[in-house]
This record gives sequence, C-alpha cells and structure tokens, in this order.
Amino acid sequence: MILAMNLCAWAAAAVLALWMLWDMLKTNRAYSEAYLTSSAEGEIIDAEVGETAARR
Amino acid sequence: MTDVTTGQIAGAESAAPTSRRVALKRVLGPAHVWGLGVGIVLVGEFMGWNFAVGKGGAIAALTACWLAGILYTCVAMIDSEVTSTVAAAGGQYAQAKHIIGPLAAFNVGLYLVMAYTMLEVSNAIVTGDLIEAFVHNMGFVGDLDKRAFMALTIVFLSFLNYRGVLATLTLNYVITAIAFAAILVLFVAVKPWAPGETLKHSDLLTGLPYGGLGILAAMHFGLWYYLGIEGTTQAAEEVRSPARSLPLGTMTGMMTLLIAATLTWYVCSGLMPWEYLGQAVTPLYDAARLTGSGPLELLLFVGTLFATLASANGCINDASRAWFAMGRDRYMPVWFGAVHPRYHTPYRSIVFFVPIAILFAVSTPLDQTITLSILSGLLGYTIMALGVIIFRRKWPLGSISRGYVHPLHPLPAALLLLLCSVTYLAVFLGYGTQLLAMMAFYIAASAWFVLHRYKYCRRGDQFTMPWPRPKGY
Repeated sequence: MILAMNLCAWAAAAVLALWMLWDMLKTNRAYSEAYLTSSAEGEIIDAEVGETAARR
Repeated sequence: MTDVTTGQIAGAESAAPTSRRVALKRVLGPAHVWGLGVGIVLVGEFMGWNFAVGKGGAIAALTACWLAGILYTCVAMIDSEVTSTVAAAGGQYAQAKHIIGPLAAFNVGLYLVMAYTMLEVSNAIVTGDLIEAFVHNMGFVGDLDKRAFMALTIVFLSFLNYRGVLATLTLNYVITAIAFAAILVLFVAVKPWAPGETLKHSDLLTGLPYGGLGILAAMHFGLWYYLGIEGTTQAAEEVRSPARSLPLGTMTGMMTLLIAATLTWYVCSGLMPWEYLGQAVTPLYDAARLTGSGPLELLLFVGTLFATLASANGCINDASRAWFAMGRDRYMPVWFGAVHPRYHTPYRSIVFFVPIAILFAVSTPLDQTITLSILSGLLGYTIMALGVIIFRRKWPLGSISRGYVHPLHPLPAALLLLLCSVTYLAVFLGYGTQLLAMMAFYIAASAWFVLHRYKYCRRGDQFTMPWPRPKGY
C-alpha cells in the first residue's frame, strides 16, 4: 500500500511536470518571442473579454 | 487569446504580429485577495510559529505573536496605501522601482522571490511530514517516501498556477476558509470556557524559561504567524478594482490572522508542554490528536493539509509574478517576462522555480527554510518602511490619487523599522551565520546588477505610473 502510494506520487509529479514542460516548449515554438514578452506593466484586459476568450 | 491593443479575440493559435500584446487577466475580487493573503499565511498557524516557544517558552511566543502582529499591521497599512496606487504584478518590487529606484527594486524583487519560494518549500516539507505522520497513525506499515509527496505538492500547485489564476485563487479561497474553520472548531472543541477540563494552562505555562532574552529570541519565529500577508499585492494586475480590493482584502486578512494566531497559541499552549511544543512539526494536528477525538484529528489533518496547499499555491503565484515582473523590466533575462497566450499566466517563471523548490524541499531542514523566508521578508519590510516615507515626501497627499491612506504616518513606518531591527537581532542570536550568508548573497547580487545587468534595462520604460513629477524635482 505504502509502495503504491510512493509510486503514484512520483508518477503523478512526473506526468504533470512533463506536461508543463511540453506545453511550454510548444508555446515557445508557436508564438514569436516579441509577442510572448509584449505585456506591459499595469496593462488591463477587460475581465469579460478575458473570460470569454478562455472559453473559446 | 486576448489582444490588448485592438480588443479583438483571436480564435486560432498562431504566431502573432508584434503590434499586438498579451497580458495578465483581471478577474479577481476582494474575496480572492483575502484568500490569497490569508491562504499564504494561515499555514503559519499550523506549523512553524511554535519554534518561537522553543526559543523562549509559551509566554514569550505569545508576546512575540502580538509584537509581530503590530509589525504586520503596519506592513498591511503601508502596503495597502502604496499598492492602491501602484497596481502592478511585481507588488513591492514595482513599488520600490517607482518610489526608490532600480537597485532597491532589484533587491526587493529578490527578497520576494526568496521569501515566497522558501515558504513554498517549507509548505512542501510539512505536507510530506504530515502525510507520513497520518499514514503511520492509521496503522499502515512501510516507509512513506516524503520526497515524492513534497515533489507532488510543488508540481501539482505549479500546474494549477500554470493553467490560470482565477481557478487557482478560487481554490485557495475555499481551502483557506476550511482551514480557518478547522482552527475555530478545535478551539470550541477544547472548551476554553472550562479551564482545566481539556486545557491545562495552569499546569503547562511555566513563565519565561530564558527570561527576557527569550522574548527577543522568540521574535524570530513570531513573524511566522503572519509572514506573507503582503503577498496580496502580487495580484494587483489581476484584480478588477485594485484601489478597493487590495486594501480591503489585505486588512480583513490581517484581522483574520490576528484572531487565528491568538486562538492557535491558546489551544496549543494548553495541551502541550513547551519543551515538546517548541519542536513539533505540526502543532495544531498534534493538539487535535491529544484531545483523543478521531474526527477532530481528521479535521485538523485536513486543515493542516489545506493550509499548506493554500500557502504553497499562493507562494507559487507570488514568486512567479515577482520574477516575471523583473524579467519584463530586464532586471532578469527578458525570457522570464513571457505571458502564456492562452492561460494568461507567467508560465516560464512558474516552470523555472519547480526544480529549484523541489531541490530545496528534499535537502534542507524546515527551520532553515523558514529562517531563509523570514530573513528575506524582513529585508523587504525594511525597504517598505523607508519606501513609504519617501513616497509621502515625493508625492504628498493630494498630489496623486490614493485608493487608501494609512493613518498616523510616519508612526507605522517608524514602528515597522523598530520591530524589524529587534527581529534582526533575534535572528542573529539563533541563526547568525545564515543571516550573514544571506546578507553576503544579496550584496553580491546587487554588485552583479549594478556592474553587469542594469545596462540591459530600458531606463525610460521603468516608470509606468501616471504620476506627476515628484515634489522637489
């Protein structure tokens, strides 16, 4: 039981870490560096626009 | 993804022209700010504060609790005023950049990152210890690998932060409320209205075993009750109404913590002798076990677990945003200043700290990580106190719009500086080598910034707030 818990914890951590790494690399390739680093301090996205965009 | 410049929404993911920009998303309200602030800090009631008992006894820990409460009330008031005017992702980093200058801002950014990352590491260590203790108490045989659960805690919460801020902080709000409720239930369960029945203060409180020096020494860990409440400012760029939500969330959070800290001390000091309490890893969970109530033990297991998860969650949120803000300003490589086009999170900064946090969690003792966090926080509070004095001098009341004005200036700043000085002395008494090592690290980092990094910064882009020229300039 304890062994299974240990293995599951390591496996879950590895899966999530690899997913983040994969998504990061995919995003880095899909967009230009200028766009990804284009945010400006204090800039606003209207909340409704942001929420709508996330759902599309 | 959301295009800031044209307001149009792009349906397909593709490389975007440089005239369009990406940004963090404003979706948070005062409750989320309360959840972020209290969520980061409440774990301090479930672990760590009790090391103050080991330093000076239970009475010294209570004295340190209230003195630290004064310190953090000053922090909350000062922070609320400055943040209501400087609503930027870097929080105190952005404030220092605008009010003092780039070198102070660089140092404050490092303090924030170190304080929150070490707090996150402390939370992961406690999660591993807690799960191990719970599994053994349930009668399971075998050696639980704590490192697996430390790593899982860090990675899972980083994953949540990677995917978005609203769900992450809504989760924080819920689990923080449950953790706070657990403290209240434990307080009621030990029948504080019937002294001697469950709580044995008359037998267990032994005065000051190390005299007045113990109170001084206890100040070191007294900060752990409240450390992190200033983290609410990191969400400034993601709050719908910063001028209202941030002061409201921060001040109500501070009130919640004052109550929680006092209740925690009262319950634990009435159930455990100070010699044990001063070195326990999970004092509230241990207190619940001592009541002999199975449901209470389970509730405090859940409460401790939720508190550590909420805190680690908030710390990942805050540390990544501070690092992101420094990257955006080129104080760190600009690569870290990227925002995920779909999730609107500082994804590279989030991923960057995952292996660093795991390495510290599996290799560093809990009291060391707590001390690293406290020291970095103290340095930040010192700059904060100096910063608000400069802020009021350069931009007096009436010269710019402030969402909140803290009262009795400069008394809070003076008190904050005094209490920080006392705490530096307290840390030096117990962890002098660590204090000196950290000072040396920050001095070396400052030298690197001045001599090497600052030439990459776009000096004209530093000041982003729509303020008039400072008084006297």
